[in-house]
Amino acid sequence: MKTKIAILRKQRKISQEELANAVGVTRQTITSLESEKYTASLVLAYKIAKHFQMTIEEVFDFSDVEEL
Amino acid sequence: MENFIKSLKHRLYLTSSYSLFVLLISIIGITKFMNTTDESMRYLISINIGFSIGILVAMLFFCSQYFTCIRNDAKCKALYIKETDERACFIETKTGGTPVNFLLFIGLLATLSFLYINLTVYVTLLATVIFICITKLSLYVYYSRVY
Repeated sequence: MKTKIAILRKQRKISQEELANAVGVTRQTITSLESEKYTASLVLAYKIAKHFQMTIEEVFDFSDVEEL
Repeated sequence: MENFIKSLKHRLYLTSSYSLFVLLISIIGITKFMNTTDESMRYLISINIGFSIGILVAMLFFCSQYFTCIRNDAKCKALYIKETDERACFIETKTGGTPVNFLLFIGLLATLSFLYINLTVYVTLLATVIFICITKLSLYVYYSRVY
């Protein structure tokens, strides 16, 4: 899933380690999210969005999600 | 965090008990080694003692890690994040999770014990444990690259 985490992080000058500590995950998870290898759970998505003071839809791109 | 510290204390007891069992098997191994003159048996016992020492070193490492974390809040938080990280948990589940780990621990203990009971069962268990280890490790490497 596409995310704006890397862009938002760079805008706010936050390192992956700092973001990881703030949301309670490891740096590798943030790397995986940024490289679109791993899709965050609802709880993690909420924590990241809350950290950036944004909504989940503003941080994560749901346009690729297939609708049944 | 309180619950995590409780869980660490519980794990500390389990690790210590497991180490005691392994130590007991090692002592039996050493006495058997002293009393047997059969060269092939001595060779197998020495391999078994080597395995036991390896397990004991690993258990000692885990014990010291848990002990440090119980006393140090920063390290406790770091371990908590490392263990509850959702990607790590996801990969752990994909590689078999707790049931496979439990099977490995029990399998190792059974393997070490069965050398002194039945050689055929020992070889079979050893092969099984090695196979599970290789499979888990390969899956871990694979899923770490995928996710």
